[in-house]
Amino acid sequence: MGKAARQGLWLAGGLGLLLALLALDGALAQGVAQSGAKTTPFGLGAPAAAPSGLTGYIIAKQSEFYRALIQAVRAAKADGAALPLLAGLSFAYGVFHAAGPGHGKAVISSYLLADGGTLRRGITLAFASAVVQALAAILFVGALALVLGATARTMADAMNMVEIAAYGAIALFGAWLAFQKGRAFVAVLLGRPLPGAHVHDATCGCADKHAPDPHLLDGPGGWRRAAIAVVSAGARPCSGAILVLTFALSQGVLWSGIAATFAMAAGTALTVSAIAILAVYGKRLAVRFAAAASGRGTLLLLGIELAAALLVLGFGLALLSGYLASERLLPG
Amino acid sequence: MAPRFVLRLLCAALALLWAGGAAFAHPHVWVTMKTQVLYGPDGMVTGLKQDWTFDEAFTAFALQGLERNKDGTYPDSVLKPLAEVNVTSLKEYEYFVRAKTAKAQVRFKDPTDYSLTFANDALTLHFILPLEKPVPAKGLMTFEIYDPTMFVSFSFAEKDPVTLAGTPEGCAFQVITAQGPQAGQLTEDFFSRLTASSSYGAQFADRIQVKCP
Repeated sequence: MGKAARQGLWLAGGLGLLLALLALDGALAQGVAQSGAKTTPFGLGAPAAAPSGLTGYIIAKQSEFYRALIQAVRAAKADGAALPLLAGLSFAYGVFHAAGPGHGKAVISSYLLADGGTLRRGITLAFASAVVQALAAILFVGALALVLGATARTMADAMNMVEIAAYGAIALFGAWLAFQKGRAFVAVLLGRPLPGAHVHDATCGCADKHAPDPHLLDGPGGWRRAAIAVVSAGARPCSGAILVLTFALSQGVLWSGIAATFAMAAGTALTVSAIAILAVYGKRLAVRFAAAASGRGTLLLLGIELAAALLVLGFGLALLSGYLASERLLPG
Repeated sequence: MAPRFVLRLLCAALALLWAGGAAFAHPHVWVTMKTQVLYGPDGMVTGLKQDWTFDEAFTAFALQGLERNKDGTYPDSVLKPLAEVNVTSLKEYEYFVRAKTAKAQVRFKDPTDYSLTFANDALTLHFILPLEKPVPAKGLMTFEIYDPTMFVSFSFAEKDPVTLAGTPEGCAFQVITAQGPQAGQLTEDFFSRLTASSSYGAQFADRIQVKCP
């Protein structure tokens, strides 16, 4: 085994461990939330155990930043000098906030798994979806609260419609992606040429015939698909941004709310980028090792991509059906 | 070795994505609460009075687009229906309040005397949660007020988080937060006896304990 391969193995091992830890932490938090939600007929139900570990830390931090940032909106009203503070707090809030649901993190990452991604592409998609989400929040509050003078109830109803549209789009997009990937998977499985792909042979100049071409399926539709992923993932504005914008509006400083929303978006983009990078590298490593071991890298690559596409579909359906808890805007 | 390892890596990655998406809602509403334990003339516990003060951002959202008086207050025609909506939608969440005696869980009836007030840029929801059946004050009662979904973050008011109204002689209360117990009007003996009866599940959930001789 070469030095590079050994290094790669260590890296992959470390990455796997990190992913496993994060997944465990999240899964535990979910377990706590679910057991807490149920009440037993004769007991008190599980007490609201403060989530511990990474999840608890993230929740505590973002609560802290959110409270401070609301105060900063007020301070910015009296004194423009508070604006950098507001931006900094919003950014920090965004970094932690993006770890929660409703930030398209899962959709963007699974899309990157499904549709081949480079580092640059991963980061671009993360930032693009964060900006789309910021604009969605500003448009939402601007159109409903500022122009139409809508009430909270109306805004919550409007949010329902936005959710159905956005989650439906994620599900449709996932289904379509899964169809494309499934077709390619079946073609390779049966030894037929890939639909729309060039054939790898001795003349194509590929250094290693066993290594799958990462751009196998990027094709001309690559960026168009990426745009669909970005818009569907970012269309549902984050409740935190809506609350901050509405508060800023009520204080007569909508502009500082808008600044805060963009700073928040930069923060969420950072977190989503980190997760997107994990997805990109995780996939690349997985495929490289599998290809070296089995020589059937293309099939495995397509298998992963099909699974990831199905995951996008799954997210969409779960969000749509309410099984996957999303953010709420009103209690009740 | 490699395929299995890769499979594990992939599973971990997928689990992460899934868990990350679903794992937790984060608080969007902050409530500072005061609780008054109500006693009947016969010394029975009859219910709880709750005063929940919402944070400024949620207050602004709740009042968005509603009619405001020139002096900055809100007319009853706005606050009354809003209180009605609040209390009605809280029913599904059992008002986030759980109560139990030393022996069993105690149920509540629908709230009475609910209203909203607006002061210092914050809405406060007041309501009385009557017990389905009054219970004797004697012994230990525990109240927990929390949102298991973490959408609403409840915390005790710094000043007078709990009051006992019309209390029989000798009753005392204790407020326990995640940071540990905070002083009520208690003797050391009270604390030590509490620790001895260790049937109280997790140590660190926010809760109120009231004890009467």
